[in-house]
Amino acid sequence: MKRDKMSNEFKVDEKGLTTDGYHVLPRRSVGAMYIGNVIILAIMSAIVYVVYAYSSQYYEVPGTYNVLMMIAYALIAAYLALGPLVYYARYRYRIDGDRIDIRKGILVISHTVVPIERVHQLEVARGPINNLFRLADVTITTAGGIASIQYLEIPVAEDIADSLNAFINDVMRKRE
Amino acid sequence: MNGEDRAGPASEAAPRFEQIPADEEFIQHPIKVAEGVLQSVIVSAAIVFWSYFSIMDADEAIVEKYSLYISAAIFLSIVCIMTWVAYWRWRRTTIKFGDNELTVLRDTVFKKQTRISYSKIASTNVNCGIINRITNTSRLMININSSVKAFSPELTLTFSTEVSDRIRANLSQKMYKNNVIPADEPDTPSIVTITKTDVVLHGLLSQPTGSAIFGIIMFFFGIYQMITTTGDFASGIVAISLALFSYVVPVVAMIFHYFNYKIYRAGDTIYISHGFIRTYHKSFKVSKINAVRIRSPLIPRLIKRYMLDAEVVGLAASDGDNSSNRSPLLCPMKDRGTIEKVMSAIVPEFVYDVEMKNQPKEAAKPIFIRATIWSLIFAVAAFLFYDTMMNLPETEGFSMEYVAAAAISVSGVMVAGLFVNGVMSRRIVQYGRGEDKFTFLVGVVDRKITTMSFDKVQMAEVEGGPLSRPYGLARCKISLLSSVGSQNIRSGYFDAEELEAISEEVVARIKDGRYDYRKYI
Repeated sequence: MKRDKMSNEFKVDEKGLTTDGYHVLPRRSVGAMYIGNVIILAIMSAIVYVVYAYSSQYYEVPGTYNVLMMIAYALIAAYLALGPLVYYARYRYRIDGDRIDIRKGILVISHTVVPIERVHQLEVARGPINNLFRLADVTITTAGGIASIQYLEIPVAEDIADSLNAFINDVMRKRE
Repeated sequence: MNGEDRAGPASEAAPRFEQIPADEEFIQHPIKVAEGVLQSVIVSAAIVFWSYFSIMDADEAIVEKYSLYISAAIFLSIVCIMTWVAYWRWRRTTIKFGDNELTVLRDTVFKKQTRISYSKIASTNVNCGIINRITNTSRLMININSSVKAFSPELTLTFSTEVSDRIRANLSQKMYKNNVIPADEPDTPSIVTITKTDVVLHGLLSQPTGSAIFGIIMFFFGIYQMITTTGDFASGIVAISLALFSYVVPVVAMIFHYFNYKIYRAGDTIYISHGFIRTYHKSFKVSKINAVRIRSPLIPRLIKRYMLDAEVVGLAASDGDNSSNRSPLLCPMKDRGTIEKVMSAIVPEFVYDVEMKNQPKEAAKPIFIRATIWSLIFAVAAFLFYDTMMNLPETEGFSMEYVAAAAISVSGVMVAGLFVNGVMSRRIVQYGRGEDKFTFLVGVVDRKITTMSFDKVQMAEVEGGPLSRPYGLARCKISLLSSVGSQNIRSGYFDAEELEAISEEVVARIKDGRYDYRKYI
């Protein structure tokens, strides 16, 4: 019964919410992830090419090395090609009165819970790729670490940051 | 060792120090000027030394002739300016201790007013170096509750020892709202007797197993190299230096650091003092402890020795405090019985009845597969290294076959070690949960038993990988405030629902009011 229980929690109904009421990412987030991965792949390809060209020119590199390097390259390329689709399909977040839940992952699926009472600071950030797709990340800082909700539509990200900020300020006022 | 005994000696003692009125203004000890100038002298000497040689290289003969005078003039000018700046800053910096906050006012060209509310202070520590001992002064360090400022004190003030003790005692009174001054009584006995032998053993055995083994191997390798190599001692010296820096220096530093160790608790405050050349006096509230940890690296565990430390934010006890010494040590290496007695006496808040659970049987599969994968990766890397070594051209007097054989032996031990480590972790790693606390036991080689309060969890993350998810298993990462800012504490493989229950409990306690922030101020 427990088999793949965590994965089943990521199934989405026709309203775009999971049975537990989690939100999903906008579809265009996949495009942003792909652009990022293409840049990573381009940098990685350049490094592999330079290493291969340099080593074969100056050293007698055994064939095994090249085969292992190509296998590693192919695995990483496949991960970058398939990753965004899996990441998008599994990414879920939920914010209620007490906590922020984030479920995400490609191979390793993680479930992060941040009690809102522990939130110290909120930040909405947009890089050039996210800007291109009108997306933003919300970074949540607690005293013990940082969590982030990525690839949100800009108004959604700002709403989340505003409502959480208002909540934190309210808590602080009550404590004073 | 019950609660009344604990709080007894210090809290019942008559106050030794006068109260500080809110309008009393303090100025630091003049040695502060010397401290500031000394640092400037060292920096400026280095600059002038460099500039002296630059001038010497100049083409103009006249410049070369007067290079010594020019350098001396530059040096004296810098020292004079820095002395004047240090004096001016010292003279114009005043400290006041109000009813709710302390204020440091620096009325120089760059005006600065620092206000620190007593409720935000995490700890007040006293640190005495050689200069302080000669001049009968001490450096009072005030730390606040902040992960950002975990590495250095918020304020470092130099006073005569008497003034420093008076301020610290008054701060304790203001911070902890006691009617008596729980002073750092020199006559209060330590909860646990730590002999010089204990400190030496602690220094020798408390190093991580990896550093200890590396240091010992390098030491013997260096000696072997120096005996067998004629004329060229370079490789032997390098190996012995590595042994010194990876093991011997940390051991000696640890022995000096924890010499004359003493710990006691007065009310809700824990007092720790230690140090041989530089002495440390730390105090912090029990409510500021985020986790308590029993540690035992492999070698001390073989002789049944353990140590106890705590994660407390804002406890920097010196400007250049070694990061490995940041977590306050509650008890150096002792037997398990003594460690548990000290834990009950010093931090009974972290003692609870708990039934520790081993990882479930299903965990054996992901652990086994994981160990196999890592062993295989290491074996492939070792094979590639061996292959490369064997293909390198022969160097006169140096056989690659020996290097390759050594590499194969080390790799074989590593592959077997990784595999055994993975398999053994199944029955060693444990998790236990009580009403308001929970415990993770991890580490096949260097064991750590960490007890945490649900109320101190900042964030919890449950991770299930492709090997563990099919069995409903996951691992948990708990984020806490710690002595180095923040720290993640990881569990082994347990039922995912059981680990999810940790964050559920954290949120539930906040929601129903069992978590009361006022208890932790």
